[in-house]
Amino acid sequence: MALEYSQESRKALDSMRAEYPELRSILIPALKLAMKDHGSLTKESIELAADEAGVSGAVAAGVATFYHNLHTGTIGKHLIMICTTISCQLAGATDVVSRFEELLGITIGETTDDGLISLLAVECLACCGNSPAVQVDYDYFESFQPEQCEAVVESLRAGRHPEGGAGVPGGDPDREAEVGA
Amino acid sequence: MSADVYRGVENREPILMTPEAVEGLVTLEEYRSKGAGYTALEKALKTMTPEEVHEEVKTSNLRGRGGAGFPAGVKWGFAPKDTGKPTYLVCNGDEGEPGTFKDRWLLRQTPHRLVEGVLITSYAIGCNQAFIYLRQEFDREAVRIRSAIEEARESNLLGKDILGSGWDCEITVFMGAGAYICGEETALLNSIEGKRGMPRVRPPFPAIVGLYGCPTIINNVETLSNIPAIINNGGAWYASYGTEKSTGTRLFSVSGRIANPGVYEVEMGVTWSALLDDLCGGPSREKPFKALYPGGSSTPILKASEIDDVIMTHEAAFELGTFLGSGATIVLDEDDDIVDVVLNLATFYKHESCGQCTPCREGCRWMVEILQRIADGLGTMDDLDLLIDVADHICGNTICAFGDGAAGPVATAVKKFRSEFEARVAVSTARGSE
Repeated sequence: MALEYSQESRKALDSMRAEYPELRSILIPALKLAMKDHGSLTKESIELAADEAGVSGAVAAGVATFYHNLHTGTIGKHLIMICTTISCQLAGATDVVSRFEELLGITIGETTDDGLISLLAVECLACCGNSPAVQVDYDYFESFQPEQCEAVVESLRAGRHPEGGAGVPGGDPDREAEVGA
Repeated sequence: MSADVYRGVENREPILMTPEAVEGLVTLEEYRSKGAGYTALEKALKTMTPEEVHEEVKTSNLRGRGGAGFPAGVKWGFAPKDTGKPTYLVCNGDEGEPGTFKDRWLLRQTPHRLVEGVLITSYAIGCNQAFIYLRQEFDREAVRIRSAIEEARESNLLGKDILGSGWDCEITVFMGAGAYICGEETALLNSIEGKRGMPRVRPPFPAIVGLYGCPTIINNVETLSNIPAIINNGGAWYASYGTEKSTGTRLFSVSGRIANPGVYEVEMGVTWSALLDDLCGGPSREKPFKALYPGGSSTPILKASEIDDVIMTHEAAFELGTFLGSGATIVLDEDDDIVDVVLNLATFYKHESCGQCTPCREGCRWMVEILQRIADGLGTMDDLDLLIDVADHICGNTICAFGDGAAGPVATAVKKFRSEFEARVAVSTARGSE
């Protein structure tokens, strides 16, 4: 059976369409929503997004493989992204990577066997003043120390967004947990 | 954030990092009561023509804060009027240049000021639909920007017939998907159009043929955040800050081996020492500074001795063979290994090259290979010249500035710190002869 979007994603796409002069502009959002609904991008889910944006599957596949955050390989439900670019590297990002690897039993770039967590090394997150910087499901954890890794992993395993993120500026912490990428 | 974030040549008030902004002007109510919120938009719409707004910005000589430093008012003038097509404004919030984190500060602390800057600029250039492009990692910041847009709409500051002026303007937030190159303005336009983020060949410049083939002006978050103050106080007031050619203040993101890293606003023309020693408290590890990337990892490295008594202006940086770039200062001290630093950054560029131009795609890969073997103690003296040769073949041979940004700093580092590279090679030579 052909893949479909969830009702929520369908609603988001429908309201987005009016914002752009050309339909094609919703391709990247459509790929993200396909990923949200069906996990890492496959030929089928790329086709789903392609149809939505009115482009060919080949064009959508080209876009899906260009952007680092559109995942075509195995990807976990939660993402731990560790910045390893220069300022974070100087501040000890390698130790953070090692600690997460130890706790999760995987190496950087891999996903846990249960599909819950992916551990990714990423390029500059624009948080160099409070380095090392880590993002958990796109929420910033600044000046992150290896001692904090355990609490992050425990929270994610318990189905909670970890405490201590920068969150939405001036935002309600309860609402922040609902924010998706 | 400490309170002493601003440093002027004389006793002048900060423009962006006012005490209220440092505390946070997040909601419309806060921005209105403590930040003169939307008074500049009202002034522009009720008392000025678009041409008059444009003229003030030209007078201010505000130069783009994204990296290239091109005068914003001149850029606005490149968009043709009466083409029969819409004109678009795109705010570049794809902050990704290693070392840069000042736009994130502005998005978090003063989201409404950006929205106001986008609206005033749209009015000046005749745009009715603006886009704010944010990197995907600004997910929580985007929530705040979207809230600001909704709050503005509820108060008739955005949407139809804004403040009864008869002028309409919409703002759409577009989220990237993880690609450094999308900070390059034409790659960014392709990304909004749902394409791979590859830079376009110029000409035509985006001011003529930009988003959806229409005239498009692209300005950085910091550039646009300065517009409300310029309209409220006048272009001449803004130009009275700084030097003749480098006017105003700038946000510097300072990181690396520095006692107090963070975002700092300085008036153009203060000395590097005023920023790094007085405001940032000097080195973090009681080791002397060795070197710095003055304006981001794409700007050629400077030895610490080169900035003695030098002031911070575009011209002074240019004389030293480098740039102020995006205002991202990454400081290294005597214990940092230049080979390791250059390898880290070369790896970044290899990862982020869009692959379109051969010299960049292949050259960035080769530079990492050569640097890796030097770092591993397997390099030769010839590798140092080979590295410079590869870098020289990238520079000037690609369709966007990425190639120069990747290669220039590598070549400069090898030239300025050759003895450190030679020492790594000498170790390998000695090992090889054992």
